[in-house]
Amino acid sequence: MAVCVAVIGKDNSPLYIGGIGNDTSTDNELSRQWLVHTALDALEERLATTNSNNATASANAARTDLRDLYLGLLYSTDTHKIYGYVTNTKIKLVLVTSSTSPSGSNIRDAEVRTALRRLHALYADAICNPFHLPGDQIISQKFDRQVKSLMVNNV
Amino acid sequence: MADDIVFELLHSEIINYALEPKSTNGSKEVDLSVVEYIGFAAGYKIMERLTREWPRFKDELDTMKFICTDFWTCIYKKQIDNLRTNHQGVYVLQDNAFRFLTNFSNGHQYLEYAPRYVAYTCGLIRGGLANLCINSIVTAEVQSMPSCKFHIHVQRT
Amino acid sequence: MRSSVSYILSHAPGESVMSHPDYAQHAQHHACVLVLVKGIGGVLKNFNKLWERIQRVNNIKVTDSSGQVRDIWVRYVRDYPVENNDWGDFQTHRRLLGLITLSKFTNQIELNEVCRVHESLKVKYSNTLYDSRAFMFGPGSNLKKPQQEPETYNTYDDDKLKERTSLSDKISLPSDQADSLSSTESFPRSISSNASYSVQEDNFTTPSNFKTHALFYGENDAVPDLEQHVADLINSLFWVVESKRLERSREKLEKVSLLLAPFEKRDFVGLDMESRNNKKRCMGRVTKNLADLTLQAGLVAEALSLYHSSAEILKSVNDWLWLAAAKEGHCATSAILQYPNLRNPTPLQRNASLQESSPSKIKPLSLYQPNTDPFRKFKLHSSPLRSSKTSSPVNPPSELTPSSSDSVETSSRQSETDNADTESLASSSDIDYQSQKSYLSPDLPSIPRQPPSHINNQYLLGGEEIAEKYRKAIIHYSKYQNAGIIETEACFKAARIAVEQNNSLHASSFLQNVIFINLTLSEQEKIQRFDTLAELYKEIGFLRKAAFCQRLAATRQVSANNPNPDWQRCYYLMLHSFPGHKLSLDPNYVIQHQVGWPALQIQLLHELVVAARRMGHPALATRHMTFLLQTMWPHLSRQEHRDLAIQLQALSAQCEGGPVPLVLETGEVIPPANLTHVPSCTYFNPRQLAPARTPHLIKCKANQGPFIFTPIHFGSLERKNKKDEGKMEYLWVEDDICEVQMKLTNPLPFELKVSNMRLLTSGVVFESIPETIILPPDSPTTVNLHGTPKEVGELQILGYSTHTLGVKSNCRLKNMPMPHKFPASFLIQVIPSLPTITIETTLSLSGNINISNPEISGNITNISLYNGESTECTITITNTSNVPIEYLELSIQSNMDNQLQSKVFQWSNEDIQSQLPINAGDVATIVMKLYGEADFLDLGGVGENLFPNSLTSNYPSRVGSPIPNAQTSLPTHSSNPQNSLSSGFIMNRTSGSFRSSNSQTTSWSAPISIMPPSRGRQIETQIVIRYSGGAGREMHCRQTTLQMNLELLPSVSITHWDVLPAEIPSQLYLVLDITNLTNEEMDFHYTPSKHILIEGKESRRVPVPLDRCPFTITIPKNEDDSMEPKSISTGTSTNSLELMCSEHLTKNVDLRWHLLQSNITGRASVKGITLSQTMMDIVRMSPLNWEVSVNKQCIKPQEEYNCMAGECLSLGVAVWNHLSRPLHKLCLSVQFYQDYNNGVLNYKLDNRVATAGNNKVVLTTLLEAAKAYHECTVVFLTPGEYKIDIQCSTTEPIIDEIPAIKDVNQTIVQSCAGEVSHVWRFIPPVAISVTD
Repeated sequence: MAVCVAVIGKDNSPLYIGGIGNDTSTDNELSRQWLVHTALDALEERLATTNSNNATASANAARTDLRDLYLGLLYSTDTHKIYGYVTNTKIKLVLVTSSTSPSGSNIRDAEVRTALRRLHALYADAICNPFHLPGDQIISQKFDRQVKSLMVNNV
Repeated sequence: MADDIVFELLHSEIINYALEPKSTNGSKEVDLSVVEYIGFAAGYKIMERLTREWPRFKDELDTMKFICTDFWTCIYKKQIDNLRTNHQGVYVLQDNAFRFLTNFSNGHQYLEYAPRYVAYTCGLIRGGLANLCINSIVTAEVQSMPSCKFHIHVQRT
Repeated sequence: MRSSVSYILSHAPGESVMSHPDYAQHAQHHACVLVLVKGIGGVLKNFNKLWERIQRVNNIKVTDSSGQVRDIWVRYVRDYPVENNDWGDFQTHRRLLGLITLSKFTNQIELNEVCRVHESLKVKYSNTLYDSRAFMFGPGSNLKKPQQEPETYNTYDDDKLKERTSLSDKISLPSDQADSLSSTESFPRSISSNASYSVQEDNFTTPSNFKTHALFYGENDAVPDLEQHVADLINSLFWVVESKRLERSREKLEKVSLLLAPFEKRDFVGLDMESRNNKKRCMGRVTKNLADLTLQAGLVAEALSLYHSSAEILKSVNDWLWLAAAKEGHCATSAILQYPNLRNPTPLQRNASLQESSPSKIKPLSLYQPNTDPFRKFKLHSSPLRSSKTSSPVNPPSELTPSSSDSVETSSRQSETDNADTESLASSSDIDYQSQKSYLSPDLPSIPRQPPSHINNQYLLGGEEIAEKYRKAIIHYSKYQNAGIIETEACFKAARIAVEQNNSLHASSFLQNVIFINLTLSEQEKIQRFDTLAELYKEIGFLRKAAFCQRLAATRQVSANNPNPDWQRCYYLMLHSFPGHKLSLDPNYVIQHQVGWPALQIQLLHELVVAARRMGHPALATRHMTFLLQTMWPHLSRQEHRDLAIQLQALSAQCEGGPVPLVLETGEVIPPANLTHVPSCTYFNPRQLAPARTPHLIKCKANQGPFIFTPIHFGSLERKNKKDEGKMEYLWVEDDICEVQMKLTNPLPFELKVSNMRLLTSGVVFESIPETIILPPDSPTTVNLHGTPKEVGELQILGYSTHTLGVKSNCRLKNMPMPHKFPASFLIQVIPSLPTITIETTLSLSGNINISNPEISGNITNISLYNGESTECTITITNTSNVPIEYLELSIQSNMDNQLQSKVFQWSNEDIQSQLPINAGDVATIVMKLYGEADFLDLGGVGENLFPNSLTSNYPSRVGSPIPNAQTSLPTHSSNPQNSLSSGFIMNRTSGSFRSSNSQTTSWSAPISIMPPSRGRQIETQIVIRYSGGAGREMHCRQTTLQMNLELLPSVSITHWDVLPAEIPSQLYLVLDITNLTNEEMDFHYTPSKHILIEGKESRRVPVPLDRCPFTITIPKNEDDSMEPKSISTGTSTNSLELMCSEHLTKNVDLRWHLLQSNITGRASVKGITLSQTMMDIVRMSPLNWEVSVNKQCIKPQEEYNCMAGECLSLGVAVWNHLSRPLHKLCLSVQFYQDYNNGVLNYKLDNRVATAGNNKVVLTTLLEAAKAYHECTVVFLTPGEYKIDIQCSTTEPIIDEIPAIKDVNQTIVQSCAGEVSHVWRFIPPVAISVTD
């Protein structure tokens, strides 16, 4: 199951970080932020290589899935797996699953992909909220609820 | 096509509204900047939706193609007829029957008013590109009525 | 990249598990010979220098027996756990082959000890150690080498031989340089130095069991041949390795023993070695082992193929562990070839060392060809010149070793040797600088300089392949729990290669894998692991990850299960993770670009504060807490604000924060953090000086414009035009308290004490006065900061400093949270200091003193004066500043018109100027005369009640009123009713003033007045004192106004007046009704001699004798306009005439009064008195002089003449014209009449009087100063009282215009122009009493 979902803006500023789970010492708001934050490096590196690979001839078979918005597993710790997804508008969606819990440990890539696509859809709706300014934090409770349910049910 | 016509009517009303209070002082740019901004905001927000199912763009040209095809289709129910570029960040999108112009004139009758009806679209393009992290300046030119050229100058920083 | 299968052979970690990961390992170390360098015995002070020098000897070239040059690389370690040696079979580069000890001893005992330690070390690593060196530093310098029989190595004896030779000249070398040293050293031990020598000579002997090649130096010797000896060691080691390699390669592959990794031992117990599988296994492992040796022995190319083949073999038998090792070896070898500059990691450092011009450093290295005869070596050694020659051909272009690195080596060595020569010739370092350049340049780029194609070796792996193989290797490792450390190290090596390839993703994936390898490590090792991770992440630009790792390491440092927590290192780790969190040490930077994740930054800062505190650096703790509060303010909740503030207070209690950068031991500088949010400033503005102190421009300087004297000031004006923000238009004054007003808000929910608030200024010296304030929560408070500029020029106010929550902050406007609100600074012009004064006013008689400090501009002096009273007001000016007052001027503004003002206030400017300059503390007094100027003529309300008194007065009915009832007594000029009326009428017409008309048609019953002086008047005046001094006096001055309220009380008033002819024609009486308007008894002097007492509110009539007004007095040019308005042209002349008369009166009448009770004296005047025509006739001298004679005898005035009835009298009348012009048409008439004294005049005397000669003659002209005489005779028929009215009248109308100035008379005539003529009478009329 997804432990945490984060929406990160073009400038790598956190737009939304939603987590579920009992706030124990190991998994609480802050630790989730650490997880997501450290994922950004890998995320950016992936993007960079994506572009560079397109340019250089050294682009190998990975070319096709490099164009995919879903970047797959960014990195994993002994407790969590962090998946990344970058929209065409350079909005970064990060999903963290806990590899300790049974449901999270043997999660399939496809599931994460779909979950992130859904999240993308939610985000696209959320920014159409007239009260949301692009680049601001997402404070819409509707969005929050939707994301939470997504985390619980779909992954 | 009822929904389309609603869109067109709304658009023309917005323009009338934007022009109305300022009609006293003749500076068109000031007035249209409002319309342009409306377009910008709309384009910025709609882009998130439109590119959702779309694979990551290879490069700028790829993006422009997207603008010409899907983007244009979803808004104007047709594609751009002609895309030209100098590969230095200047793109010219030509629409031979620009929707906002088709239904009131072909010829030169309302030529002077044409700028009003392209401002919104300029903003739309600019906003869309901005959200795709391409800063640009979009201008439009109308020579013969229903056809319209949009010039996109990408701002390399 | 973990292997999916769970651990193979995963039993509990064996006793010999390698438990000391070596994170610093690089791939290229596979090819290195491992040498331990240890300091033993006493601490060597120059140990580190030696250590560096040794490290620099990391590569030597040896020409092997086959004449091929080998490239031997060395890795020096300071410490090496023996356990790791156990893996020596697995990977030979883990074997510790060499030992170098650097030891210090001062006496035999220590020497023995040192030797013992060295030996014990040798024992410790006995099963791997090949050779060792002991560098011993004794007390003296000139030591003989103690006797010892050199240990013997089987393989090569030439080596020893060489050592000896080198040793021999080694001793000779230092012997003659450090005698002095030795003597001092040996003092404690012996009396005379040479004695000590002898003592020393055979003093030290190494113990017999010490079988090491020891080298002895004085402690302070510049060990010139250190490199050389190290090179020796390496050389010897090489030969051992080489020999091992050879014997390994000669082995029969059929009967090789099975090599084992430490933990495998028990796995293979009871397996038959004869099985085909195991044979292959052995073969594979041996091949792999051989490959290792080959690599170490510098035959890289061979190593490649060996690794490959070994890998092939091992794969076939699924020997994963060794397969992995083989693959790793393969990768490492390829990497070494691909990326040669991995090998010389610090070329720059090495070059840098060259610049230090100590010859010892630049000895020729590793020039020994072991298989050449010693003699040659000896010579070669002694002469570096030749050595350089020999060294130059070294390294023929071999296609195996990438030429780039080699060329580096050789050329560098080349240059070194060259230096060796040039140094001796004392040629300075520029040469070797160039030489460095020559080989530095190709060295810089880090991409492989040789594409793989050029190295024609089919086994050489490409960049991607290396990564791939390494990944595989690691996966294989991961199958063995006990190989965890090998795996970890492999990960790091792989990552480092990836870094070299600029492939961040690979690197990161390798690094990522490290985390999953769960090892039982000590805290310290874990920390090291994170450190290394962080460092590598940094290298690939994964700053966030690096920061994350650093933070983990930091927390490990102080974690509960860390036996010895190290807060200091924890702190530094945290601090260095700043960039990863997008934090900067400079708060302003952080505030400006809000990047990064606030939540994390806040967390980090919190931890940082804790660390700083725990490591016992409260200043830092305070600083960081301030930083946190300041930068993260917007992201903190109100509650957090409060908590942090309280924490900050607690911290600063230990060490208060100041706005000074803190420098850490590492040299890092922590810039100051200033609290601009606590308190937050919403308004900040300099104030103008107080009105009394504001400088004013002295405008009166017409001759020199402001340009000359204050160009600055003018400039400021210009700048103002340029809309310079923050440029103040007003001025401040040097040495004068200035003020800045600001609004502060305390955002914290508790009361905030801000102490020591000052202004931050630049430009001129400014002395700021500290303020301390208490701010209640959430209510804007206005605060004024004061200070005094101490210089002239431009003052720049940059902001303010606070001291709150125990933190001193410099809040600069330009760093304010909302910069748009304030200009970057305020510019204020400071002008030279001006004096300040205090003023006190003293009134002479009503001595009310009134001290006034000029600060309050409106200090008020109240004075009350009676009309006509005069007093003096002394204004005392004290110069309270220390600037002399050099300019002082007085001016008065009041609600009076100027004339009146100038009459009321009088002072002498000269007097003032004479007192200048007023020095500091001096006093100047300005005497100002005040005079109760008033108009005393009044007909106001008192008229009526005066009337009865007039009746009782001595001159009952003669009080000048030409009305008929006055004609009882003396006949007056006005006894002709119509005439008087007419004249009155005329006056009425000509001058439309009540008073005048009033005065000549005086009736008691008609007193009308507009402004009676009987009421008091209030006069408000400001006395403006402008003063200046000092340097700025030319341009600026200060001004003080003191308010003076003057009340004028009524004293006396003259209600009525008239004129009477006196007994002598040259005189007259001015009769005045004086009213005492005061409540006291008044003594009224109307002549110097005469005076009269008047009760309060009483009025008296006084006659004032006067001379008549002469004709020709020029009328003062137009007098004050308080005269009646002129109606018509004739009016003017009349006015001027009347004016003349009233002037005459005013001048001559001197009225003084004295209030007896309140001894006040004053004066009064009849100024502005107006006269009717008839009055003027009296006042004025008559233009015609009469001479009347009866019977030839002239009659005096007032004299009674008697005669008999019927007697004939001859009456002669002579008239002189005193005018300056002729009179025409004069009609001289004589009339007789009887006065019945009841107002009836009887002119009908036809039957009583007979006249001979006409009683009326007309003189056509009477020239000026001419005399006309007319005579007639008269006879009185009946007795009685007769009177003769002699008059002379003009009938002609005057046409010609004559200036009125000279000709008074004419004006009269003119005045009565028209039909009505003017009449002159002889007064008093001649009276004749006729008797029988």
